Amino acid sequence: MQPTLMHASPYDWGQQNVRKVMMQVQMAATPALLVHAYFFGIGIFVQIAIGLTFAFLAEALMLKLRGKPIKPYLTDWSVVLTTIDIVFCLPPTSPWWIVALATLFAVVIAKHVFGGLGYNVFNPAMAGYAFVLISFPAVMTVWHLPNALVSNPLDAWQTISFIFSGQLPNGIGLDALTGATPLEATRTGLLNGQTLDQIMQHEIIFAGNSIAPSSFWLSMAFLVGGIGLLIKGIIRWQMPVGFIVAISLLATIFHSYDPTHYTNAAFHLLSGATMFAAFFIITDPVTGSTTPSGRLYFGIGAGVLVYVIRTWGGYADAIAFSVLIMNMLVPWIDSVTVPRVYGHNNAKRAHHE
Amino acid sequence: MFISRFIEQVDLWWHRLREGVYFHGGVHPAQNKLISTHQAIQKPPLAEKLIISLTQHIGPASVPQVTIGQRVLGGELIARCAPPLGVPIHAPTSGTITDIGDYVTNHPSGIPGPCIVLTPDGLDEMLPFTPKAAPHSVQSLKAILLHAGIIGMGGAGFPSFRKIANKAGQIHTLIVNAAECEPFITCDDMLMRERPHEVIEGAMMVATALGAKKVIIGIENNKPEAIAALQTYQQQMSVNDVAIELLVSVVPTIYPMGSANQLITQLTGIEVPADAHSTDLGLVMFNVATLAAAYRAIKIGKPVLTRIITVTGFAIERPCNVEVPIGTPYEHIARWAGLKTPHGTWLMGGPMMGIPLHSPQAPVIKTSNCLLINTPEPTSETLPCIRCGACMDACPINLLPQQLYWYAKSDNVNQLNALNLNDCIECGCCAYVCPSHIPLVQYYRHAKVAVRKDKAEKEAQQRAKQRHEAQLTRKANEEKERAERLAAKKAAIMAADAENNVAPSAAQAPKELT
Repeated sequence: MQPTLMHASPYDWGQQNVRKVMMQVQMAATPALLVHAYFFGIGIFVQIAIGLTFAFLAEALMLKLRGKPIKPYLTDWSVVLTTIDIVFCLPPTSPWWIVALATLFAVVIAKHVFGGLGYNVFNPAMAGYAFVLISFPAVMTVWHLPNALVSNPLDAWQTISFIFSGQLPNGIGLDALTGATPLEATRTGLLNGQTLDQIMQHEIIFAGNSIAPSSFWLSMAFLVGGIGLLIKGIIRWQMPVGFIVAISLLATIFHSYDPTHYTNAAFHLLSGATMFAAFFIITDPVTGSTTPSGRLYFGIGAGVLVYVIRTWGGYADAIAFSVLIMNMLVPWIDSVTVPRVYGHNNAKRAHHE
Repeated sequence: MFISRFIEQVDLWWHRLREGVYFHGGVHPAQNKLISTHQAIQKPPLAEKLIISLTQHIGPASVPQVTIGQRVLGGELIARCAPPLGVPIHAPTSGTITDIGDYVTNHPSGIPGPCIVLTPDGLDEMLPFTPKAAPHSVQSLKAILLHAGIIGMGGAGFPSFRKIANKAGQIHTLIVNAAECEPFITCDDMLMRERPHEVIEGAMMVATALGAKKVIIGIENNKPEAIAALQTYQQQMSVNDVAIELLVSVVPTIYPMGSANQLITQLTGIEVPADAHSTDLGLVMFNVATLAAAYRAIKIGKPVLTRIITVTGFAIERPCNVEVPIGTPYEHIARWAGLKTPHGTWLMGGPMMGIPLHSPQAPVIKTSNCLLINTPEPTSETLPCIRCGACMDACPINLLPQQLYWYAKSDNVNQLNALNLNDCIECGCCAYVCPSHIPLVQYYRHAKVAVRKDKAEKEAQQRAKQRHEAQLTRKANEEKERAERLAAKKAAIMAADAENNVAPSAAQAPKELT
C-alpha cells in the first residue's frame, strides 16, 4: 500500500475554469446578439459563422506551428469570444473577406505572434477591427440601416448573398439600405456646420429621437449582459465604472459649456459601442490592468480617450484605438498601482530595473 | 495612493456587508466536515510500535534520554529539549525502546528524521502525575508549558512557552483559535463539543497567568454544537470567575479564517503590522487543542502524550476523530477506520494546506490534526494565466498572486521582494480560484527558496566585501603606520645625527668660548 503522491497543496480546486469564463461571457452577449439581429437582420449570424471558421482554422494552424497541443487550447473557446467581439464592431453586411481578414489578424498577429492566450499585449478583437478599419475605410463606413427604417429590407438569403458576392438583388440600391451611424451622422453634421438639433431631426437613423432606437436597445442589451457578468464575478466593477464615469463627466462638462455642439452624456453612453466596450471590450482580463486601482485608471483612461477621439479626432467612434492605446500602458499602470499588502503601511511601487 | 486606499476600503466594506468578513479575500471550498462528526472521539487499539519524532516542533531536534532496550513508563521523559526552541518529549505509553534512528515523518519532502521507536507492552503503565498549582506568574506558566512539551497544536508547532511575553500584563487579550477553517478537519470541533471545560479552563488559566483581561474564542459558525457546548460551560462557570471577560465570538465560515492574523483582524479589527508580532500588540493566540493540553498539564500534571486527529476522506469507510498516542503510524489509524481503496491519496492535514504523506508508516506528531485519504481524481490540465485577477481577489494578504507568478517563473528576486512574496502564507486561496488551474502556491514555495538563497548570497557578498574592505583599511593603516614609524625613526636618526653633529660643536662651543 503505497499512497499516491500528488503535486502539492492545495488539492481542491474551485468550480471555475477558463472555458466556463469564456462561455459565461458569450452567454452575457446573447441578449445583445438578439437585439442586433432584430434591428439589422441575420447578417451578424452569417458573419459569426464566417469569423468562427477562419478563427478556428487560424488558431489550429498557429497552435500547430507553435508546437502546442491543439485540442485543449482550441477548446478554451477564447477565439469564439474574439470573433463575437469583432463581429459586433463590423457593419452587419460587410463582405465576408472583411470578417475573415479581421479575425485572421486578431488570431494570428494580435494573439499568437505575441505568444497566444494570456500573453497577448493587445486586445485581439480590437486589433483585428482596427486593422480593417484603417485598411478599408470605405467598406467600414457603410453601415446597414435598421430594417425598420428601410422600405424594402434584405431577406436572409439576400443578406447571405450580399455578404459573399457583394451583389444586391435587382431594384435595391446600396444607398437605400445604408446610412450613417448615430456617431457618424453627428460628426459629419457638426463638421458641416449643423447644430445637434438639426442633425437629430434630419438624420434618418435617429428616427426622430435624440438617441437612435437601435443604439439605445443594443446598449441596454449590453448593459444587461454586463450586469450579469458583474454579478457572476467575471468582470470587476472598476473598469466599467471608470469608463462610464469618465465619458459622462467629460460629456456633461462640454455639453453644459455648449449644448448645440457637444452631445450630452446620455448620447455618448447610449450611442456607438460605449456599453459594449464598458462591459465586453475593456474588461478583457488578458490585456487590461490587473490591480484594483489600476483597473479603475484603465477604465478612466479608455473613457477619456474615447471622448477625445469621438469629439475631436478623425474617427466617429474610438473604442478600438482607445483600448489599444490603454493596452500599451498596462505594464506601467500595473507597476504603479500595487495595492497595499496586509500589515504594511504603504503600498510599494513595483521594482523598476 | 488615495484612489488605491479608497478602492481597498470599498472592497473591504463590500466584503463585510456581504459576508461579515473583516479581511480581504478568502474562499469557500467544499466543507465536507459532516462526514467525520457522526461519532464521538474514538480510541483505537494501540499500534504495534510508536515512532516518536524528535522534530515535532519548530527548532532543533530534541535529544534522546533513553537507550535501546530500556523500558519506559507512560509520561516518562524520553528526550529533553535542545535550547532555545525545543520542547521535551515523553513516552506516550509504557513499553520498550526498540530503536533510535531516522524514519520518514512529517517532512514535506519525505526526508527521514530522527525518531525514537517505542514498542508498547500493552500495560499502559503511567508515571504518577501530580496536579500543579494554577500558575499565577508568566514564569510558572512558561515552566509548565515547557515541561509538558506543549507546542502550537493547530499546526504551527511553535513551542508555546516561547510564544508568550515575559512580563505579566503585557498581554491583555488571549485569542483562542477555534476557527478550524480547513475543509474535512473536525478534531477541534469534536474536542470543544466533548471537552469544552478543558478548552475554557485552559484558556482562563493561561489568561490568568499572563495577566490578560480578556479571552476571545473565535469560532466559525459552521460548528453550532461546539458553540453551544462552549456557551453552556461559560454560563456554568461565569458565576465564580469574573476577573477575566470571556467572549465566545462566532465568526463567518470562510477560508482562511483560522490563519492567525486574519482571525485577529476579524475579532479585533486590528491589522497586525508586517514587522511586528501579535504579542507586541498585547495579543496572543492559542489553538484550542494547545489550551486543552495546557489544562491537562496543570490540572492533571500530564504532558502531551496523545492527540485528537480526524481520520476522514472519501476513501475512508468510517470517518471519525480518534485520540491516539503520539507516534502512532498513520497506516494503523487508516486501517482501523477502514480503507475503501488501496489507491487513495494520503494527506496530513486538510486539502488546502495539507502535506502529502510519503510513507503510510509516518507517525502522528503533536501537530497532526488530520489524516485525509481521498480517492484520486483526474487532475485538470493547466492552461495559461489569463490575468483574470481572481487570485488577487481571493488573497487574504492582498498580494498580487498573478504578478508574483510571472516573477516566480523568471526568478526575478527584486520584483518578488518588492511585491512582498515573503508575506504569503501559502493558504492556497489563489490556486483554488485560478480558472487556469495553475499550482500557484508551488511556484511561490520555489520562489521563496530563491529569495532566501539570494538574500543569503547577498549577505555573504556583503560580509566578504566588508572583510575585504577591512583588510584593505588594515593594510593601508599598517602601511601608514610603517611609513610613520619609518618617518619617525628617520626623524629620530636625523635628530640624533643632528644632535651628534651639533653636540660636539655645542660641546666645543664652550671650549671655543672658553
